[in-house]
Amino acid sequence: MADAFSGYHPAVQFVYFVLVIGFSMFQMHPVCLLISLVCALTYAIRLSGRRAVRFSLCGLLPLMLVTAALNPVFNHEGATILAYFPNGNPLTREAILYGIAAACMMVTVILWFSCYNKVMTSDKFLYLFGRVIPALSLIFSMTLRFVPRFTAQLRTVTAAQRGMGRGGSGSVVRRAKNGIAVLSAMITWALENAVVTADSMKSRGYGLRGRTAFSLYRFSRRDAGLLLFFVLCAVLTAGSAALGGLSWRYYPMTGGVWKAPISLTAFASYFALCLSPSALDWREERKWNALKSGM
Amino acid sequence: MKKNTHFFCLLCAALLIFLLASCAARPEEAGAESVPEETPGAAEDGSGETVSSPSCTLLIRCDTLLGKLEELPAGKAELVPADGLLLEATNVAFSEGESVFDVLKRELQARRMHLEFSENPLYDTAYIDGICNLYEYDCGELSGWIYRVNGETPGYGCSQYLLSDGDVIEWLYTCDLGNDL
Repeated sequence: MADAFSGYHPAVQFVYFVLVIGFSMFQMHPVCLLISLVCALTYAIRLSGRRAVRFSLCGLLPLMLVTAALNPVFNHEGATILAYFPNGNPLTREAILYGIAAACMMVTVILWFSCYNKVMTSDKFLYLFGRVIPALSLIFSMTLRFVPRFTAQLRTVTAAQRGMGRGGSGSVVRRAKNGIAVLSAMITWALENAVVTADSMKSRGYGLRGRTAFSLYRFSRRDAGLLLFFVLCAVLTAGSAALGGLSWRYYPMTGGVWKAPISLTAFASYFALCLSPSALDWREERKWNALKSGM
Repeated sequence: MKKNTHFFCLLCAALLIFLLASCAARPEEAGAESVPEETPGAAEDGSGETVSSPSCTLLIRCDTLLGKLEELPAGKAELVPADGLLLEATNVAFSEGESVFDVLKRELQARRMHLEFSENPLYDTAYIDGICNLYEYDCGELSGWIYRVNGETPGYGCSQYLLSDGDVIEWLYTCDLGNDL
């Protein structure tokens, strides 16, 4: 159990990620994007440490730059013309700003999903939905597990190949042949693995009526309190957005309407919602350190 | 086991069909773009040997939108001028062999006015997506920019229409494929 939030009831965690990913996907106000990006990054670093930093710098930052640069190349809407492309279409400030915002949003959602994968392990997901939608939840958890398992297996197969003397050296044709051999082994493994998992779950009676499963989750008052807090934050954010506190437009002219009390409420509640897992972890850490030093 | 493999095959097939379908389904473009069926016959009357360079009149109008401002997407209503004239009738000089599109592009760039177009190599002509941030589909599915020369709508794209001296070009915003003009 890496952090404090992982110890809460799976329902609370699931609701949290649904809310936060939902808001991140649909709320394009720049302040909200910034809040969500910073909090997602903070939480990802808290969960995975240096790996999250490396993933953000090597994977997400280039992705963000490319996405931000691509939008003004293909989208020419906007009132402020900065320059013209060789074919005569304008380069507009609005398209650049929108590209940056969209790139932020994409990276934020990817970061939240990386946190989701760390916190909502597949046993938790199956615990929540195994009864209601057995087949779909099995497929869903298998899909979510697929990429990490695939990379792990890929590392194993490559290591084995290297041990046989078919490492990453040699001519291009040689290396391509080795690569194809590895790929073929991986695909066979992935297909077989999916079938075996399905069969194995079936032979254990998964999804049958009256079948119970062992789980250690209890919905305590602590969970209820946190869930209430999340719902309150979400309602406040959504409510102030509905009242126009988060109105923002990118085209044809970038700008928004600032309504001090409503906008501030929205930002504060959204910030509280996005930061709460990291904050819980901080609190836990401080408490633990205080207890330790008092001993 | 057998049932599972069967299901898996079905899943793969469905995925493949979905991929193919999404590749094949391309959005249709409506409006001023069509296959040039007739050859543009404007530059045939040999009057291009005059000493002064030929000129035409350019006008950009969106007064069809005046009564429908609340149907536009948020923030676009302010882009429509009160009289609906984005560019009042202007006398524009052009050189021999220039098309309606060339003149529009040059004049709007000179005024730093917004214009977005897409060039379609299949039809070898340009399509006007938006002028002054008023875009196709902004006022319903049948809306977009249409052009008229000397009061008539040519049946081909604007970069195919070669201008002759004294032509009157009108760029008009329509909300109903030209039936409301």
